[in-house]
Amino acid sequence: MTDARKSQSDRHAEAAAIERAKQGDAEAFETLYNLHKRRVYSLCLRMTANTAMAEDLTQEAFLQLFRKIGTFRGESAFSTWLHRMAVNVVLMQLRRKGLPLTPLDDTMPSEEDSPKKEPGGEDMRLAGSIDRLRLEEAVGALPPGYRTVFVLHDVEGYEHNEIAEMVGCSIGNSKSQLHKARMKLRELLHASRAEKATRA
Amino acid sequence: MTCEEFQRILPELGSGNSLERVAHLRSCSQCAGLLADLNEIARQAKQLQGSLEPSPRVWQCIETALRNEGLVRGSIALVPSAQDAHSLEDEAHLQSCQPCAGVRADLDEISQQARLLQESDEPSPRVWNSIEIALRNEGLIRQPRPEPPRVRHAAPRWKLAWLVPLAAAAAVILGVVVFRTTQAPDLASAPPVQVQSTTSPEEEQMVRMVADRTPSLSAAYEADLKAVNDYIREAEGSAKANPRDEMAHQHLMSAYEQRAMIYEMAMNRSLR
Repeated sequence: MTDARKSQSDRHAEAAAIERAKQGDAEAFETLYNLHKRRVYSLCLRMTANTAMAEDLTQEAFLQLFRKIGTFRGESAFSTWLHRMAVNVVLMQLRRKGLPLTPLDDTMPSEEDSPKKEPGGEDMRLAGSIDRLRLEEAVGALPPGYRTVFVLHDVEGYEHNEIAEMVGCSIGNSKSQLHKARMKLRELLHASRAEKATRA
Repeated sequence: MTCEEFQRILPELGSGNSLERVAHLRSCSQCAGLLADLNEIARQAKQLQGSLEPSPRVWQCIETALRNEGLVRGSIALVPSAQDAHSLEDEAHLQSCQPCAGVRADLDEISQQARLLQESDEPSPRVWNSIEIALRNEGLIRQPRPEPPRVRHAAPRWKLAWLVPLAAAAAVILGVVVFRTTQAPDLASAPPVQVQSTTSPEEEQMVRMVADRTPSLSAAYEADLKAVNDYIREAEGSAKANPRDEMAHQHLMSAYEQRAMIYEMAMNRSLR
């Protein structure tokens, strides 16, 4: 089956499951869960960097969805609706924990953004040397505020105006935090590569 | 454009580049390298989307919650996950790979030993104190009743103890009599139903007993008794008017049982 056909088949399966879930069909709930669990869980884990919390938040996001599924009219894609719900659940939890979603409006470049003199040239670039595991580790090591914006923008694909609305900051702040997150990741990935080279 | 100026505008850099920026990038390998790295990070980040799998525990918790909230009808069959498909391959690998087999054995041992941790820790007394407070606040634990004062004029306990089954039996027998008499198809020839429509002397005595023992509950008890007697009257009327209506007779029997329960409640309060 081609990707396009598989995708269409998934959409049909999802639509049928949604209608059955509205009637309380138990298997329909599980079908919807299996279709979307990875995306929701990955989002929760990356934003919290805590497995237990991510599982609880995944559970909460799906429960909220299932409680409200009767109100879903299909104006937007189901996955969009679920995803936005999951993001809100995570952000609420982060607020409850008092973790900063983003620092106060901070669009001025900081010391860490200043140009650094780096030895070497082309061979020091990251292109082709980033593997998923190292990138995941680096994302987990980001400060919560940077991590939130990076995950929402670069991983999940939200635009800055959407992030600003969800997180409660300005668009400029969102862009600034994203840039700082990427700079920090670059620093972490370079350090990781250097360490790996030293051990080899 | 200097490197500092270029890097200051990096957060705002969109897909279109001005000539000035392009010119700077051509002349500055450092800024070009920086921009390339940041773009590579953004590109690789997309692969992280949906790449992780939650543990089966997550679905189990969701399923339990759905059932508790009554959102689910029917049973949820356990759908074999993709992990089951790998088990044969995993087993074959373990048979040929000693290090992995060793790791697996260690993990199994840890899992078995973990069961010994069950019930190995004692919670602090604070836990029960908090639970007890919550239960009392929700009315699930009632205060122990104080010992009833010895009243000189109290009726002998044996008379009071026999009153409960006597009253309950009377209520049930009366119900049976009414049920049988109302089974007769011809209403005109049916004997009149003996209805206990007013408070009986036994009930009056019970109300007095409750008032003596627990005055604060006397009004509520009397109201309950009145309500159940009203219910009985209504059910008797309905059964009489509809002698073939099974539901009406069942309601009547239920009403008698409720009255018997109220009698029992009164005795339980009095005998403590």
